[in-house]
Amino acid sequence: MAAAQATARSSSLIAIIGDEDTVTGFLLAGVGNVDLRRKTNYLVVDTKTTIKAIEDAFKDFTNREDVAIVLISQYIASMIRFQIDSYNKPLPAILEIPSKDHPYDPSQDSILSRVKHMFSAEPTSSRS
Amino acid sequence: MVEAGSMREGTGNLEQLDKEVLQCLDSVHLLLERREILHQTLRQGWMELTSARYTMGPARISSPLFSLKPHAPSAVVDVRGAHVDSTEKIGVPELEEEIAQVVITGPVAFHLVEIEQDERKDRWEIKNLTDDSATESDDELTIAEGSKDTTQPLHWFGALVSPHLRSAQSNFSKALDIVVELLNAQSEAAHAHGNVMSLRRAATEN
Repeated sequence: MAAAQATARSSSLIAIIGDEDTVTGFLLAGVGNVDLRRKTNYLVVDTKTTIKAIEDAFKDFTNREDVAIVLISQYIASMIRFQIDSYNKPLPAILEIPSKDHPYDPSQDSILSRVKHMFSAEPTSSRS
Repeated sequence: MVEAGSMREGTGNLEQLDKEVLQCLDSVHLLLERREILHQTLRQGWMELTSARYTMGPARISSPLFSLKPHAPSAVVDVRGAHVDSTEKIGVPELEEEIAQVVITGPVAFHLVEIEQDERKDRWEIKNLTDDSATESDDELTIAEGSKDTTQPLHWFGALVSPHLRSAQSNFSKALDIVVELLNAQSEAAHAHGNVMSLRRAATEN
């Protein structure tokens, strides 16, 4: 049965979860969106932000149909690592970015880990 | 004869596997390159932001100043390669409804689209289109149509802002371009990795 398909090419938002400087910078670049209910596509994380608030924001952004990319600082992603690792939808795409005080750690990158694992598996022909 | 045939097939599969592995490695190389450039661009942006804050005062550049008036973004993303299969729906208990499932047929490509509001024509124009997006029909011009205006974020921080703030804006705009390139490389690498794993599995079973 041929499935009725519609190309989803409508332009979509970029959501941000990061520290104040990172969010300010990307808002300056023009990604900020505020709808009529004053709902935003960004979350500024500071010392008072709870893990639950971050989880709720992540869940909200990944369930929105108008969001195509979620940018999240890697140190914040580490706080909700379980939720990030269990996320397996193709869209919105998640990208972990470095933050001002926390440089990027490539060992936590899922693509790089998978590729590394692919090449580190012992080949069967080498077994005696 | 049968053995020669299966050997040819096996050789063909191995060649395909080699090709996919090289594709995967190329994508990963691009990914690592883009990550480094992103880090440098972001670092420059943070430096400029800090300089602007030093010049203008910490209270002049802070999150309470972000505008909460309804406004549309001036930078959005166009997604290609994904389509919505309207016959496959997944239940979402929290919403008490079903939503159409997004089906990915290959690597997903992201394209950054910048929107500029043209007040004379009372519509939004797309600028800086990438690839063949410039040939799209007028329907594409309505992506930001509605009651929301785009906003100039620099205005949130005052009429006169430090040149460092403008420079930070430029750095983060460049970072946005790199983010899109990074995501495309990531999507290609994931797709190539998936192909390699399937071919390896097929080769092992044979």
